[in-house]
Amino acid sequence: MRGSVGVAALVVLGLAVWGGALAPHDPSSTVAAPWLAPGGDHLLGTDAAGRDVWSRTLSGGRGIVLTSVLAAVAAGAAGTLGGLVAGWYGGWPDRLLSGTADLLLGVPLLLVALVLAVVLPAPAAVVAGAVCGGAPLTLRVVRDAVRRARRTGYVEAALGRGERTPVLLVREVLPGLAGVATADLGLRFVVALQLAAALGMLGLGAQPPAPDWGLMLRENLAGAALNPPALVAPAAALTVTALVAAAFARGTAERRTRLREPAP
Amino acid sequence: MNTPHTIPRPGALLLSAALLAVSACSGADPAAEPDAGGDTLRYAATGSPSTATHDPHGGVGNESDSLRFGLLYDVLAVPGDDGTTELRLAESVEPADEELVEWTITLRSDAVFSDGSPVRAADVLYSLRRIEDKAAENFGRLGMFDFAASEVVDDHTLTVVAHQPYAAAPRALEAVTFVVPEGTEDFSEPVPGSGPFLFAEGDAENAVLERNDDWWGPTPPLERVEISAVADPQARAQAVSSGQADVGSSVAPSSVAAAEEEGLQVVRRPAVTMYPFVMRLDTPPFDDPAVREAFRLAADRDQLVETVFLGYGQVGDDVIAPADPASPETEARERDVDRARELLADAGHGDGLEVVLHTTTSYPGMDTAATLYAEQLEEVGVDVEISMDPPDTYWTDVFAQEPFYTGFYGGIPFTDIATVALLSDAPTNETAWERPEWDAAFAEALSTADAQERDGILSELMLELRDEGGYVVWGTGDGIDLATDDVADLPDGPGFDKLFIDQVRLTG
Amino acid sequence: MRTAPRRSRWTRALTSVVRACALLAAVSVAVFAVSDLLPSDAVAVRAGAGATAEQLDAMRAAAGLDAPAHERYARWLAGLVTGDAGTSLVNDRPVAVLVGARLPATLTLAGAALLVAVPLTAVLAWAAGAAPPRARSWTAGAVAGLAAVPQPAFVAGLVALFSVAWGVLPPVSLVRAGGSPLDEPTLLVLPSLALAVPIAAYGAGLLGGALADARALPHVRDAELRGVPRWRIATRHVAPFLLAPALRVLAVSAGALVAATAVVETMFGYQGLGELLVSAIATRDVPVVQAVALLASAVVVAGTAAADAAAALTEPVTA
Repeated sequence: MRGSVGVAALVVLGLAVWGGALAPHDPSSTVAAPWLAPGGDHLLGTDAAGRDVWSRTLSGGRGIVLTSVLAAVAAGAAGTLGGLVAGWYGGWPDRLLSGTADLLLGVPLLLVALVLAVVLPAPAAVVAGAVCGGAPLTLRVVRDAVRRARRTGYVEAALGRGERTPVLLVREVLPGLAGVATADLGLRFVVALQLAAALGMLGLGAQPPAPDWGLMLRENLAGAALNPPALVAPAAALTVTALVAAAFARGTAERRTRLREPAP
Repeated sequence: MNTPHTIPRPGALLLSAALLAVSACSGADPAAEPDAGGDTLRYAATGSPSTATHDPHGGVGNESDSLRFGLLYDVLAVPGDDGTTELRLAESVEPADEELVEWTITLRSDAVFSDGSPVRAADVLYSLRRIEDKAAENFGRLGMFDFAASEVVDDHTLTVVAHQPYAAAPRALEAVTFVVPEGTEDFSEPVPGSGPFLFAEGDAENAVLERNDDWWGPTPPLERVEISAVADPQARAQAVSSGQADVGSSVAPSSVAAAEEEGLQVVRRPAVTMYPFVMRLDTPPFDDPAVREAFRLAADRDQLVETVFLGYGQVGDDVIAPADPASPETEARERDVDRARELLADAGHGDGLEVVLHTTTSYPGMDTAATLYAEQLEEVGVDVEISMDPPDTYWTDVFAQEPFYTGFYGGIPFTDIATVALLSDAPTNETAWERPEWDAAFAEALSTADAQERDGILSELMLELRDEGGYVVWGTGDGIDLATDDVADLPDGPGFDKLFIDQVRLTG
Repeated sequence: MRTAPRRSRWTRALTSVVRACALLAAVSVAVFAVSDLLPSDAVAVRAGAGATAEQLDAMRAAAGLDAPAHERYARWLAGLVTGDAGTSLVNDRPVAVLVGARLPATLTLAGAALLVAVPLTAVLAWAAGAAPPRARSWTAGAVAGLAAVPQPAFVAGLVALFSVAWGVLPPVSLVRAGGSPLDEPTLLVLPSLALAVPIAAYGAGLLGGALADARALPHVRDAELRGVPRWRIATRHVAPFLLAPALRVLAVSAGALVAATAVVETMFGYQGLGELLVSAIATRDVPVVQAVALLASAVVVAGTAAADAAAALTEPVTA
């Protein structure tokens, strides 16, 4: 059952990234009249500019999903590193890192990404926003886990034997964090996907006529009555991707250790 | 354990603040509010709310603003039917000399600003000078005049001086010459105007105007006009079909069918939008006339108009200003793939030719036009790479810079296009069209008093440009406005005509 | 649950206020710095292609854009303190007027959204944290799933159902010129649902955990064993432990809601501050971006600080 969530997550991500190869039409070109209803050559009809909605949906996830994966990895890595340092050493490094994390959590990450999108290209703004908003949460989780590990008898004993910190971290602490970190990565991915979708929808991400789920929502929202699938398809694609990632994170967390966003 | 007594709750504070604000804005008795129908017209116009402005003399990019200025301020003249000039604040605009350099403008004497002061020649000259001062923002809209040399004769007479003979002076003074009181410098709020409506409340992006009963002209049938700036064309259409607006201007052709089904009125304004492909004559391969001709022959104009404007437009034959009264009669330019291939082969491009066509998404369909034309060019053996450039920087980095790109004209007269983009010393000579004889003939036309004779010369100039210049004018798109069926007398002329809605009626 | 010696409570409350001020100062520098790095400034955007380099320089000088960065920051900050947020580079109107004109619309929308979000958060949090054990795994999963849906996709779903399929609510919500959004309350329904539901689900995810924690506390278990009535356990034993997290969740949700107005207002064409921010970003109107971003941050930071302070003062002590 849980394995199947992992498989589903892989399939969905794979489709999102490489689905463009299955597109029957050029996703960026006008191939027919605007707002055609589904049928015939166009499985989901066409959009405002007469582009094939099915092809655009298949191709529109690549940028957004790859950006989100990158953002999740960056946020997870930054948070894990910070959490290791803060949890292991305690004292002033802990206060500094945790304090910075608290400060960053004080500002909504969408606002951060929006302001950054003025100067950075959208993918960079998504990554930066996801790191600012996500790394602090990862940091808290990892920090607590490391502190618990450090207090266990065997780590204390190993320290007493004079073993070196990096060796201890890699051998004793990190394996215990793997589950937490994997589940956490899923959550970071979901947040990054939400950011990327918002920026795309606001017109700050991919530029027309490039296919992009966020941008498609913007392009097809007001005209949805003319061909509903043009709006529903990218929304469904985004939703399914986010749900699968969230379910994966949840499943991993339940299997290993109880994980959720730290209570505020 | 500690029992909480009084806790500050930020959410509760925010809520009560919101409710306070709400009750403050809805303080008016709902019964006193004018109703949606009747004498109030709600107009959803094109405009980005963030660029909304109260300054009528700068670069007015928003139709919602121009529309409001057209109701609040008097202009010297407006575009009349069939391309003639209809005088408004000006009673006459007559040449003061043989050369057509100096022009005498006589103003009507019964125009009064909303602060009670009369509209004088000094106010007009002040406003004209202010427009010229903002030339950088408004593309040198009145650049043909030398307002430093112009002067006030008496309260209701002034002379304006052109830099060189300018027979089209009355037309140049159409529409954009919004008159404000002399000395007005602060435009952060609406300033007194003498137009058919008065500013009642709201702000630049959401304005409420009320009828000016002291206006000199025919009493407007409407009592109130509400103008909202709405950026998205489909949102404007939806505003009308969901009953949030009576008129939605400049909607996409694709929304027309649904609107007609709902029983809405569709108003078409001809030749409003044009996305010509622009080729620079000083850059290879476009320095070769044969290549330019081949590129013109490669265009499938019917397909372009059908796809880009969904048929709501007219096929073009490379005449740059087809709606201009001086525009020449021409035969339709048919697609000829074989001839185009032959021309390219003769020009030494028999093995193929690679070009980059720039386009953007500033106006709906610009990107579609470029991608479709690229496909048509492929069929004559030209390999086209489409460069989709961000709209934010397109008009600074691509426009008038790149050798091959998708341009835009919004239905302006030929003389304006020539002044801005065709004369050798034009500020944005995008095609590098430099022909002294052509310039001379243009100057001659502008010093010709007889309108018919003048149009004859201009017509010849347009023909020369059509056959030898750097434009592929494949068609023009209609402006499409949606309205509920009780709105009558909406303007349906080309160009600036649409801005003057003071005689619109509601019949319901 | 952390222990809090009584005498440190006021210190902690004060700390959260000091931290808020520090954060706000940091945010103001960041907001200013970021807007300052813009690739092309508003003068170039406004002038278009026709302007010469000299004309552009003159326009920049007139707008005060040629001064060094620290001078402009100092001038900007001094202006903000005196209620003068500068002038829009795009249309020369005072930023304070632009923001003031949009504020009522956004406050109305945010208020309506909170009216929906607060009770909804409570219900969902109960479902995620206190539903009968057998159902809880499922309900908690559903709440987490709802919170995961990207907001624009959720808005699209609402429009597809309410506007397209059922035709009961319009897909655009224009604020009427000279009117209030409350003149036609139906126009507020979709935008406020679009704001409230994702945020309620997110808040409920956070609160549900705290609720489960509170129910697992030894004295609650003990009370259950002693047969204390459920309502009494809920009010006397669990609620006090939930107050602090609930306040913080409320602050976090309100903050997320403020940021989310950018998405929701833009999608519905609702002319509020969020939509102003987005269009100002597109036109590179630096003073407007700065003012709106800072105002939103200030609201969020103040809310969080207030919640922190209140939580510090009310958090029960467990030995």
